[in-house]
Amino acid sequence: MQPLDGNAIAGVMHDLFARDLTTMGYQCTGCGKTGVVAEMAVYASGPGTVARCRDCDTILLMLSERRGMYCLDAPGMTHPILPLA
Amino acid sequence: MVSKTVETPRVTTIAVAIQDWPGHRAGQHVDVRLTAPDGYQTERSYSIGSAPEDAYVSLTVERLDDGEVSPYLVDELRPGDEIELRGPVGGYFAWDNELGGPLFLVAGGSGLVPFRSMLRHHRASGSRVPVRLLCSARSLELLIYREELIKLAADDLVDVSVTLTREAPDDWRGYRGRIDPALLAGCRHGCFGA
Amino acid sequence: MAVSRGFVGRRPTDSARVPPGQYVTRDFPVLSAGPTPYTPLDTWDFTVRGLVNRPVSWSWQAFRALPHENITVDIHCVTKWTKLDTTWSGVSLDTLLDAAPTQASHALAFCDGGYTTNVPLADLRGGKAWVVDEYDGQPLDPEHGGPARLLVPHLYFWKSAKWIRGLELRQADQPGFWEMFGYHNYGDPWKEQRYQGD
Repeated sequence: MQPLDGNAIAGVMHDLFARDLTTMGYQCTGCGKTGVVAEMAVYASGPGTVARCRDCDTILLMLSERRGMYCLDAPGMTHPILPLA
Repeated sequence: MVSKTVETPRVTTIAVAIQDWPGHRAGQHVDVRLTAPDGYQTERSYSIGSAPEDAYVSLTVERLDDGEVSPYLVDELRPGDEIELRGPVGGYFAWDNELGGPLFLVAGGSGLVPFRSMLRHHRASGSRVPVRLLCSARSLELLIYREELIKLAADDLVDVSVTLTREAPDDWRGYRGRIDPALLAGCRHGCFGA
Repeated sequence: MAVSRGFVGRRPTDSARVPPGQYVTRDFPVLSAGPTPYTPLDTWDFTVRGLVNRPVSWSWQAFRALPHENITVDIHCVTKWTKLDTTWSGVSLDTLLDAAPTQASHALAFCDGGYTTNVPLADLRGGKAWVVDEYDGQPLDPEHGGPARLLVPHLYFWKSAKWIRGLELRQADQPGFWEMFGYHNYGDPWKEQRYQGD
């Protein structure tokens, strides 16, 4: 199946952090690629949402909602960098 | 919701009037959230097809037969109904006149929606940036915003190219087939004086 | 929270065959946490390893030659769809586990693409679980887990790992992909064990 891109998690991320995060930069711990959240490959059909590196498939972000709580994990991304909102 | 416009047999544009709308940038999207009487909720993302300068915020929705939200928006929603939106969101896939150009926009099917917002903003803001739009549709009848694209293309700064992937009229002079590297290269050639 | 006039959404189906909170679908939704792997059959194998005297592997040819069963079961996805009377063909886990005697109590299924899921061995034995390579009379489509996937229909369907390549037998339980991320360790749809703590 074809993944979505990082814009698909813009709404949820905005809820959590009260700002746009699609322009947040990062580095992939798997292959060293640098990019922004909007470019991630997002698989949103599973039990939770998984965002992967477009080059090496490393899991950058995982996101799920249960019983009114969001659970966010960022196992594969380092050096988050944000433009001033 | 204030009005509905049928774009193609499967695609409808809904215009909404929103109190305290903070304004959006061309290319941003919203999340539409629906709530059933028992509290069940679901949401989907839709690109905004209107320009920041337009009176209403409009969303263009393709009806998916096995969908949960799009059949509701296309078939059930009526003028006067309220819907819940979150947004506008997304700051990456956005364009304002201040960002400059030139712009080369490539879209298939309903991927055209955020580009209509940009093209309308381009005109409304008096932008002098050259724009080339390449869009793909299965047939001319299934190309959304058909009439508007023709009008927009009358602007010397705006070039609209269409490729038809399934059916084309006998006298069709545009591109045929899916967007691939060869078609992209052909379309870029002659673009912006290059 | 305003109710959306005329919106009913996907209603849970009230039936003795359908676990609580589930709705019946006729489609077969494709759910995935990553890209679909395409493993050539000549490099595919199925391996039982871990707490065994020596690991046992079957090539695709050897796996296809194992006795297959036809299976008709209902499947229940944690994202709330249930599909009734799905038909599969595959090899019983009893057959595969008999080839690898073990004292282990748990299994961690591993897959192409890196997915894992954990299941108690008792849930894989006794005619309750299979490695299937056909769906609806056809070779299993890669989108649905082909060439072969685990089928453990009495648990939520994330336990029925797609693109399975083997089982690691373990004395101690180890959470798999979704289990590590807060989904229930066991996943009984009849008890609505969706998340940790359910």
